[in-house]
Amino acid sequence: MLWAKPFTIAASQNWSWTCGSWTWMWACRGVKRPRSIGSVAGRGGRPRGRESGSWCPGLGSGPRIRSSSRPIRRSRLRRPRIHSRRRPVRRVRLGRSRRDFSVTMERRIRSRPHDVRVRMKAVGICGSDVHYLKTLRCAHFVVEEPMVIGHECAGIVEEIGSEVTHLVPGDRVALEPGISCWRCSYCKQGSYNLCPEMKFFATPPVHGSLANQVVHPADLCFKLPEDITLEEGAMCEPLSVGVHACRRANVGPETNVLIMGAGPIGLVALLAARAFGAPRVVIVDVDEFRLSVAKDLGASETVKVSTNEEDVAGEVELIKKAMGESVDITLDCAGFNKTMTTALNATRPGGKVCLVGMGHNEMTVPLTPAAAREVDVVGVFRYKNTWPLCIEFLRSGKIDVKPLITHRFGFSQKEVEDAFETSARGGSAIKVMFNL
Amino acid sequence: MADSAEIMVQKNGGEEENMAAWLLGVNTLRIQPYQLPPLGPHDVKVGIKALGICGSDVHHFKTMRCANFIVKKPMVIGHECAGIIEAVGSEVKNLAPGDRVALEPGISCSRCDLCKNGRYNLCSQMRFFGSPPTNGSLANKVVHPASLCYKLPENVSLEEGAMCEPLSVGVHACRRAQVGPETSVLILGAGPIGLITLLAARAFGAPRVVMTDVDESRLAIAKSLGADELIQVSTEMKDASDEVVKVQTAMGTGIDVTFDCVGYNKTMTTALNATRSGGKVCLIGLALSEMTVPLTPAAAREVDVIGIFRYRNTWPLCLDFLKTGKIDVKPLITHRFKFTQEGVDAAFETSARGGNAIKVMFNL
Repeated sequence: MLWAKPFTIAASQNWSWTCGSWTWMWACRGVKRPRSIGSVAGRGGRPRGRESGSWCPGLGSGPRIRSSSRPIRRSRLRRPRIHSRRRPVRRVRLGRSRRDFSVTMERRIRSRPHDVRVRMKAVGICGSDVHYLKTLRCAHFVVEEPMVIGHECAGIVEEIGSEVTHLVPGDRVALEPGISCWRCSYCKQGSYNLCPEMKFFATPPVHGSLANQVVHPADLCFKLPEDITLEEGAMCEPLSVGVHACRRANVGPETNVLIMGAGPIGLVALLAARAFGAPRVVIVDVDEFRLSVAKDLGASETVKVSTNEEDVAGEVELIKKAMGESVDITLDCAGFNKTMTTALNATRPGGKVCLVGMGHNEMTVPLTPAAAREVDVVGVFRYKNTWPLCIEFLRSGKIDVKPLITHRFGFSQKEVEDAFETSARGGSAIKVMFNL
Repeated sequence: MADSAEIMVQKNGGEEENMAAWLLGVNTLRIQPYQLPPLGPHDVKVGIKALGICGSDVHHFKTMRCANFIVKKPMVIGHECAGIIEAVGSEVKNLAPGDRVALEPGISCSRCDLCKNGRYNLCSQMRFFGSPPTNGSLANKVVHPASLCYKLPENVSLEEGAMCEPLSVGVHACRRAQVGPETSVLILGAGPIGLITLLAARAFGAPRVVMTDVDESRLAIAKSLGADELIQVSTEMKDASDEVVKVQTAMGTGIDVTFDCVGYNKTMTTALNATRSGGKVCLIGLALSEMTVPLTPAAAREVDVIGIFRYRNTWPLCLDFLKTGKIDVKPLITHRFKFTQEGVDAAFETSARGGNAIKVMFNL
């Protein structure tokens, strides 16, 4: 492993959050600096892309906002500014080994002309966050350096860049995590979620947002209406996955929807499908408690299923009976061979199966018979242009996400550890939320 | 057995007896009498003149089944056909005896939701030539709804009319995959379906088409039909990742649409990995029941998998492509046989052999 000792809480604020910080920390403890620091490591290494200063405020090329009126000493002008007298910023980052992380102190982040500085107030834990904690990877994203975790967030704007016109300090905002490049053909055609240069909170090597403050592009911060809480604002992120899936699968007032899996994603998919007008939604899961939550959230029928592949044929029959009419669209929010097989077999000819859950890399499924009935398989990756619609759904009451928030924790070392253990446990824990 | 054309049995007021190629068992086709149903008011009686052999016909011939379709009683084979109208029903207005027509094989119910929503190819009550238990059209005459018979333009031959059926598969696939002037296309498999998909993709305006196959001679035919680049591939799964790089390099730009005209794990794996994010993979080849493929990484790049079942509303477009010359199917017809017992046996063996046999055509 690259790191010899676990990180501890470091009290000094003497660095920026570029590679210099790690140099200091390692020097302090007398441990050799890992070779990957400062070099291009993992996917993309040092963040690039639009206005890279957003992520490396000390290195960017834009104007810096000086909050102090003190004159700059001449001696300071010749060397990089690495000291700050202001209150340090606390963040949570993944540390050495798979189960170790700690709270470390960092310098206050500076804003950029199109960015805002947001004080985080609510951050939810996602399955991918838990995956990173447990395995230091998620699909092909590998954590090779310490990384701040968390991406489902909302907070209060504290400082705005000079070009920001639609937000002011004090605004409560929900944050869309991913910064795309806005130059490639994907971005220009509106499929910015597929941008190869995407910088996404807590997808390595990009830092996440479980922190006191983050700096973020203003156009990715969406003002919350008065009656929407910050926690609901943070829930816009997982809800966006459901909304994007419903859009890609063309859920509407005439489509009966089947949802495989009543976990957090299955449940937001249920809420989204209802909001899109689906007349009937049947949801299946192995866990009775989760099915009862789904029923409370508006599922027309629930079906308990097993994990045995032999039960597929019987379960397809049960599902069809529960639906009453044909299954037009299936959202597989689990992503296993069995759920995909059930989905492909249960969906009517000409229907769609949307693969939302990411269970296996390779899947063994009856693809040909499904293709020969023109059952299409539609993939989803994150979301695009969903925050305004999510906020509208919340504001109008078409969607109520509050029942999904089952556990709350504060922002301290112990609570961070407890929160992740609770989330990883699953069961009665649906959405675990930090209140900062 | 004597040539069926020479058997003129005087029956029913002087009409010749109608003969057809019946599938009686595995590898057993016999030319025997075929009694037609009476002519309904919306039907026409067509003297079949040209009929092509499809891979599904060969499958029925060799195994007495094709996917879920099982031959349980003797059935007339064949469905890719064109002919000349001999008689029209009382309500038929747009066709007259003597008209040369291409036939769309499948009669749907017109009453179910799928039919009424225009997706009649998926009708559960579909009666399709040569799909058990519906008799096919390798016969002297058939009776068929007039609405499924399309008049051939003057410059389109009866053989080209018969080719509208396989061509329709390619046209339907290009429509479902939304092939257009901006979509670069990869086609896996240069068999009959791969080749007509190539022709269709070009007609839909695809700027660049790369094709792969294991067989060099088929790649050469693809080149002569207008493929931009050819890649010879293997049947080994371990070569998949190298081949993905090769096809992407051959395409130059991202691959927008991939047609898998084979339908094996390896081709589908190649297709899912080679297609660009947000692109489409169209599964045309129906080979395996269950497939093991990297579906999740593809879904996580929003590569969609589009299924194809036959076609719908394609004949007018196919005939237009043939009339204007946007598509020339004649090079695909490699072998011709007469409608005799020996001809039928030899034709099916030739078609089953593959290789340099692309489309085997009967001339009746």
